[in-house]
Amino acid sequence: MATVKLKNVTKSFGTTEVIKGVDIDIEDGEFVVFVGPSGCGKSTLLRMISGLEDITSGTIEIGGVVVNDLPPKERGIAMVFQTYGIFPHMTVRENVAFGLTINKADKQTKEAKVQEAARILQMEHLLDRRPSQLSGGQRQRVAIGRAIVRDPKVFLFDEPLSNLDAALRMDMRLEIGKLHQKLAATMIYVTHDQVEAMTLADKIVVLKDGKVMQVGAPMELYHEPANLFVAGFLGAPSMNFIRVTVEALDGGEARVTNKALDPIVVDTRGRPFAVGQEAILGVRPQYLHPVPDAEGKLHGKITVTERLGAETVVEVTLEDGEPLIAALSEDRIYQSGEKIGFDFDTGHAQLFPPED
Amino acid sequence: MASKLTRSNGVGWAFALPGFVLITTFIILPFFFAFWFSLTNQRLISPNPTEFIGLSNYERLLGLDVITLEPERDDTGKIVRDEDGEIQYPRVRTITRNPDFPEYKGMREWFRWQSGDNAKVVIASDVVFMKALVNTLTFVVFIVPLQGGGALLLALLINQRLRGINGFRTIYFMPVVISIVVISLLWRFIYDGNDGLLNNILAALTFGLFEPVDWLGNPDTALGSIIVMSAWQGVGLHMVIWLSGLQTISPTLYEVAAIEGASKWQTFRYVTWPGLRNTAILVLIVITMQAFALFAQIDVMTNGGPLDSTQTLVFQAVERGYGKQDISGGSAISVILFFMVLAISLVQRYLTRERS
Amino acid sequence: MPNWAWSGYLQPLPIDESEFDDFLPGTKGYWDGKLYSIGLWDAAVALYARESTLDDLGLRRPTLEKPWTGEEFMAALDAAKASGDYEYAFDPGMAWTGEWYPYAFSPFLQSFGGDIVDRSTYKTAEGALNGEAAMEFGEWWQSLFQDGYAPGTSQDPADRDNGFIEGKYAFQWNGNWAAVAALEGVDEVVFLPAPDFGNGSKIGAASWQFGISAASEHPDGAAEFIEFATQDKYLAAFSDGIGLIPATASAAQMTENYKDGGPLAVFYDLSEAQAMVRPVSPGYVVAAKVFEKALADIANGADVADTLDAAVDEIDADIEKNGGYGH
Ligand SMILES: Nc1ncnc2c1ncn2[C@@H]1O[C@H](COP(=O)(O)OP(=O)(O)OP(=O)(O)O)[C@@H](O)[C@H]1O
Ligand SMILES: [Mg+2]
Repeated sequence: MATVKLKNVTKSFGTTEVIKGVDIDIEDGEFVVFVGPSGCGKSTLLRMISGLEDITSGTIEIGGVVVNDLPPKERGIAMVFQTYGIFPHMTVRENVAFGLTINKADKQTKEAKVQEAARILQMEHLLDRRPSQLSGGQRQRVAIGRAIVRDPKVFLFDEPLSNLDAALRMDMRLEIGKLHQKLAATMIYVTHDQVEAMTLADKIVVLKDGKVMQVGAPMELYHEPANLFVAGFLGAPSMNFIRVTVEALDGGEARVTNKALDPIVVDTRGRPFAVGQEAILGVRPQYLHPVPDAEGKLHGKITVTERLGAETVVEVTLEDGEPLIAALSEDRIYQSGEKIGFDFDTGHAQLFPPED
Repeated sequence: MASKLTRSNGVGWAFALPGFVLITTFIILPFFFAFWFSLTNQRLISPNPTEFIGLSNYERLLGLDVITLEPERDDTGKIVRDEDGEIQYPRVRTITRNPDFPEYKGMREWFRWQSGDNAKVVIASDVVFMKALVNTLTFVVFIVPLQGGGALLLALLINQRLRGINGFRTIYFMPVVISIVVISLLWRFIYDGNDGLLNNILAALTFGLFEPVDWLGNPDTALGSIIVMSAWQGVGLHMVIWLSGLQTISPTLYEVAAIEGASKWQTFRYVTWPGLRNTAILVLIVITMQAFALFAQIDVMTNGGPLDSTQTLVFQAVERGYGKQDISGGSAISVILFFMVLAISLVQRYLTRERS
Repeated sequence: MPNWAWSGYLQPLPIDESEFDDFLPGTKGYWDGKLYSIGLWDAAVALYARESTLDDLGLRRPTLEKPWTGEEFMAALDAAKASGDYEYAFDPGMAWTGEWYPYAFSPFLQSFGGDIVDRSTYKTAEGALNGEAAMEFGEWWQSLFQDGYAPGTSQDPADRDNGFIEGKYAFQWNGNWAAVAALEGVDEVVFLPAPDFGNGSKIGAASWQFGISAASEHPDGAAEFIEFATQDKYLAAFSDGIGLIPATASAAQMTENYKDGGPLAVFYDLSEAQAMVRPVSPGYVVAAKVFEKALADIANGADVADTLDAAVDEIDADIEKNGGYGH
């Protein structure tokens, strides 16, 4: 088990800089998830930790040792890939034992370790099959099995579940969660599925364009996003951003309003604003409550209603013509064009400076 | 009424028709002709009627016998020896041209070995055919690993992202697009016994110690020289086939191997080679087929000589069918060749079958 | 030609044979007693040498009347070899595979007293190609290569074409078609008659000839063309154009090279005096191939008796398979 420390890590492919100075501290036994939009550098960062990509500058430490110049094998890591990376010509047993075969372990050790891994992953009955006779989830289990057998200090996962269908994904997600508890190993997990991120992570690292946007516990990021990007990235449906004007500032609070919004007072959380300037008010769709007779703070008309049973997602055109999404935790029927008003807890609203 | 299915089938047949016609006219029909001719005394041109003669063409080709020669003895019954102490035997022609032994008429020594004081002589009714058979098989046995292995080596070398790698690919592929006749002519110069390039290079490398060898004029080196030259010529084609095979191997598998710390050899053994299985079968079969068809090199470079050391089955089939106007004899060789190749491909198919 | 005549692809020329009385024998193609084809020219082979070579080695100048004997020839080769001036003493032309072998080399065999087939019956090669004379020829032939007088079957074709001119070879066995180039390259070149190995000097004869297809609907027209083309002036024109020996003496007088005193006149004399056609048999096509291979094998060191025996067997088997080829 080990800590992982990234210090001002950068990576360039030729002249294009892909990772632009990343600092991350990962505690021993922590489950860290890297999220971010496609192409932001998650895989690259993970591969730099694994040693599959070299590091342009900065240092990476695993267990207190700088591993910049160590080959993957000596870093004490194991990696699980999105495309499984299992060998079609080997049985499950041979696949799981691959690392041991490479390192010329003796038969007994091999068999014992394979059995152990198979037991943990509940796939003893699959050991003699070939990959072509396995489902996607089973294949990924084999890949994870191969990782377990290595007894790594750090597990690295690169979107291990993206090739699976939704139901299987949930099962496997739970499995991986359990695995983490069982092994108590440090795990770094790349995904762009926020449910995975939120449910699995002790700590989430949000990346954008090769830079860290925010690091923190899932709920911390959800409730207190550090910036517009993180706010918009986490949560589904994503946070409503409403353009408002700052009418007054008072200590840590600002009064904001716009055509569709009655003036409200929001905590500025130390962010700088100026009176008369534009700002962006972030309200999660789940915090919006419809008020009868189009009362409340926000006013608009229903455009589309999506009834999901336990939840109703409504799309609203505000009075200033901007769109708004609300997620109501009950089944409601609205007519298109119907007038509607929303109320919300201003404590849950975020105020951000406008994007440049 | 034509359903949609039969209509579209009609179009399909129309598309297939030219291929069918060509294959039938130039491959299937000639094959049956050859089969029939081989059972007759068909000539290229002759006023005599064609007669069915059963298997006598095959008997003439395949006739084999072993005769025992007793040593020459002088009047006292002592074995006669020459200056080197070699036992003297009567000439084989005293038996094969002896009216007392009509069963050996027209047969000739193929090879012999000593057994006690006696010599066992294998006589064949068609020694040239026998030599052609052995040479063809020798050629196949050597060319398959040489050409296939060489091609794989080149493919591994050029399957990298290096500056100017396309230049190498082109160079290696060049001999394939040049006519084999031209290449054979050029290699005649290379192999020239006096001032050929090869002799000059070897002499330069050994500071003149190397005695020039008449590569194509010496029965001991002629076939080897043709094997090397043929392997060189075809290596580019198979390199491209290997290359396409290499590129179907998922890069993830190589990353898995890298993470497990596999050495270069282990990576080849566990990742590359198994991934090339189907390609290997293809390459194996294609080289084998091509090798059995060895003709142009022989025709241009040696005409089967010296001393039949480079006779091959196809060369003999052409030589007899057209050179000596004996279509039936040539056809018989072709049919034998056909069954040999068929048998070998079936064995190869069996040995390389998918085991599951 | 006999092969085609026998197979029925040709018809006898509908021309009176007396019209070709003055033609060289090698230009007339007979089969079954009938004239099937006629050539506008003939070809001849001679031993190319340099005046200076003969002088330096102190060799007698052979003539048509008194050619070198076999011993004289071998003595000449020994002298050339001993002089060290040449890569090889003698270039028979082993690089020219194909028809060259029977055309150029079977006359040696005939001079020894053998032949490719027994011409009295054309039914077998037994005795002709493996008799004592043939064995003797075979041993001699092998010695040319085993003893280093001549380049073997792996001779570079370029050397065959230029080796004599470049001075690599003292003597070269070559046809009159190469004479013009030799004259240009070596002004002191002389064309010597074939050595006599006991049964007279022999050289091959017969070249390309005209015949009329059996299926021709207008044989008369074809015949008329042949008669037209075989006029002396065209024979001479052909010869001037391509350098081959004109078919008649009168035409020879009209050419640059073959008129009396012309540089190549010697070839006309050779052709007239020594030419012997190759076996006139439909089976020749096969026999020629067999002969070629036998000579190549012997040159490469194969056992002479076994090789000639095998050649005889193959030729005989072929004759038998073809019902005697109509002889
Ligand atoms: N070998 C390479 N050469 C050049 N550019 C590369 C290379 N590998 C990745 N990149 C670039 O680096 C950036 C980050 O790629 P990376 O694969 O890390 O993205 P990601 O965050 O994993 O995206 P995704 O979610 O789609 O997997 C991308 O813009 C990509 O184009
Ligand atoms: Mg990725």
